[in-house]
Amino acid sequence: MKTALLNVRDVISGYSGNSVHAPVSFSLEKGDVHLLSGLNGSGKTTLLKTLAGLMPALGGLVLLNGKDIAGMSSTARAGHLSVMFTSRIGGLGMTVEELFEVTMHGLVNRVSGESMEECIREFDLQRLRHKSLLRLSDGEYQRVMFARAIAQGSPLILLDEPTAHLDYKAREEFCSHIQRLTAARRHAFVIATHDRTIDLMGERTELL
Amino acid sequence: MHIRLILWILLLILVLLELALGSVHLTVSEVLDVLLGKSDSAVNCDIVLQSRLPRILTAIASGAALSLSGLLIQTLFRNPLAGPSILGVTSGAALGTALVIMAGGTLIPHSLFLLGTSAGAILGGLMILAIVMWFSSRGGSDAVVLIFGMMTSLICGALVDIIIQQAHNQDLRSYVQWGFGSFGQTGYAGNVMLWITLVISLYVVISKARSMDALLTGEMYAASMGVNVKSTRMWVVCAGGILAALVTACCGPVAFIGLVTPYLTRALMKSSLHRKITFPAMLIGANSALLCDLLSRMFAVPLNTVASLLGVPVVIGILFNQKNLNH
Repeated sequence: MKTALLNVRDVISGYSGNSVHAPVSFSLEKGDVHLLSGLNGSGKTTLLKTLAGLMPALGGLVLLNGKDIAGMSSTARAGHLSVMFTSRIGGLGMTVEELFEVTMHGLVNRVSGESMEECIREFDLQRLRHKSLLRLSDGEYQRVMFARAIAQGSPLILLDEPTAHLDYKAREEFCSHIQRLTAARRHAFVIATHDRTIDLMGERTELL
Repeated sequence: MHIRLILWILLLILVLLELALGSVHLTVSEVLDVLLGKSDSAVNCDIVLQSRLPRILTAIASGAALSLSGLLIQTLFRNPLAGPSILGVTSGAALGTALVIMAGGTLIPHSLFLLGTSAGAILGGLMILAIVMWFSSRGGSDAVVLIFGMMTSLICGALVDIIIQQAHNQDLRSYVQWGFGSFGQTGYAGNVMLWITLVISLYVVISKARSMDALLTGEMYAASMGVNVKSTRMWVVCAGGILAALVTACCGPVAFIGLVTPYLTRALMKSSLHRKITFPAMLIGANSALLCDLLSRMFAVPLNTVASLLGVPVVIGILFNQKNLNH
């Protein structure tokens, strides 16, 4: 039997023993998109952090290629998955280009061997490349962080509200990037969102 | 590249001025004679080799060490206004030093005095850094963490005051003197200790530079990029805390250099990556320490007074340019 890229079995997430959502189960192959939705405070971000192995699960199992994420080192995890959170980072004035440099060099064995130049071109970030993260608008920041998550080169990408600040054009571009990347069957996405315009693309888990 | 060259030239000029100027003015050729071993004047030799040279070496090492410490602490808290003095590391080190000077002074043999005060300073400094880190890990904005750091700093100051109330006159005098800050009291033994610590810390920073860069994006992102956050953070804390504490033990609680230079370096080098800014930051730190020392000797005012007079305007400038501060 083929093992799934991501297998989520009855996972409960939360802080200090308090879970806010019912157990979640789903599995994901390369090329899939899975959407997490729910009201504010339904635990989408906490669940994403748990799926990323950045928080221990209160119950259930998260399996990456059949292996329990709880036993993996951060380096091993980083080769499998990358993340994008909602809260802004400033990196003490780090530029967009430097952020890509930090992401792409040395720390992870990347599966897709794109160079920084290709990535910056592909996501149309030339105009922003020397700008400090502190000086990006919210929409620009989201485009940069989405591109960064892809640039890490891991197959599984976890995105938290990736379109919240995007204008309609950037939103369309975001969707076409997801379609292009899933069509190539090198990536799979888990997207926490309540943006109805990215409704169509995949299965959905509603957090209750 | 030319920024580094300018910094080196500036350093050379300041070193020559420091060697030549003082209560006895020497010419550059007299200084060079002494350094090349060609001088006949025993007095000149004494002034240069026993007084001015160790002072310069201390100033360079301390300035570089404070800068590096400030850089590491700012990386740790991702806050350009954090620094060893503002977060209480310096005061913690001062408290440790005071405890050793006052309580242990009679118990520790004179030959081990420097080691004793240094150990006290390092313990005090690391303890405060650990407390502030624990507080910041509970969440809270940058400003709240800075205020917490300043409060711990005040508490340490109050404890030091209680200790020196009990002190003998002589101890009190030397403690107050030490509080003004000076690069002139360290001697060659202290210099060796400072320089060795500086080189080891620099090695740590260079070998962990990539992980430290990732730490700038926050602990969550750093972990998601494959960084071992716990171990990186431990290295940063140890190196940052020990450097500032050791300088405090040797030269007194020197303010502002550790706070201001990392910000200036980032602005000057237009980068935040440790690989690019670590060495320039140390150079700028060494230059500012020499400049402060020179001014303090020329106008006969304490080192810390000069550091504050020069440092405060820079910090206010940073505050006016708030767009460069963190989210």
